[in-house]
Amino acid sequence: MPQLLIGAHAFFGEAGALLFLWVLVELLNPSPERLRRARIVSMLGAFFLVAAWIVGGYYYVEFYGALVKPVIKGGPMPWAHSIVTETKEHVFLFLPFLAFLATGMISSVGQQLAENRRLRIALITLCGLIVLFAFAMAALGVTISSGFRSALESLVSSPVVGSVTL
Amino acid sequence: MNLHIKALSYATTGVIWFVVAITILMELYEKPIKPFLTSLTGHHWVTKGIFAVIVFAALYGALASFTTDNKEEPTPVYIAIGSAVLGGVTIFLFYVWHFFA
Repeated sequence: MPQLLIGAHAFFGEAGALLFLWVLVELLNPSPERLRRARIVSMLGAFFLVAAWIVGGYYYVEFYGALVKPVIKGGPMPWAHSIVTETKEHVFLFLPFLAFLATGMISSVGQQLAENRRLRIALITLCGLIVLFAFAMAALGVTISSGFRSALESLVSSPVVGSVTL
Repeated sequence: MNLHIKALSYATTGVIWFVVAITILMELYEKPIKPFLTSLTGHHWVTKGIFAVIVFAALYGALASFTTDNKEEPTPVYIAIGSAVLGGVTIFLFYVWHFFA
């Protein structure tokens, strides 16, 4: 179950990032058809990022705190929890709201985006930020997994790590 | 869908700084704040998420009611973008400091 949740969390997050990258590309040279696509894709991207929030949150609350956190904190990379997880769990909260802002702009401003270059550049920057943040979350997730793996490797060589006994 | 873009941008900015503030305050004043947040939903992080949605909705509603929208002006969007970058860096640096302190 935890592995399935981690996989679903990563899938939704990465798919959300790629969908906002798609939106960014559509906005580079907008036409009515491209703006229509951008609107639909941004809605889907926002939905995926909210799904990543809910699935990741369920895993974090139900499994991470009890099973993973004490192992990481007792291992050779305790900062993987104390810095990386703590940063990830809070900065992640920005993403659904940034996605909702981007989707709201595309849906509300519509055709003006083709004529107003300043507004379009702002929206492209916002989409780029969403993509960067979402991929940064993936990089932080990999670091947390490395912290967990290094702690398990320590457990193999020494059966007691922190409060965990093999 | 026709949303108030200025209100949406400032509500996003507001919720970002709310998350930054509640995150840092909870770590600095853990005793009264963390048990309170945990008591509401069973986990402090879940409460933070629900509070963030409430703050966002309340800010959007208030700002949409009391301000005039200008859909051609991108400044509020850039403020939200800058806040996300600064807020993210603030949270990261805080936890680096907290780990080594």
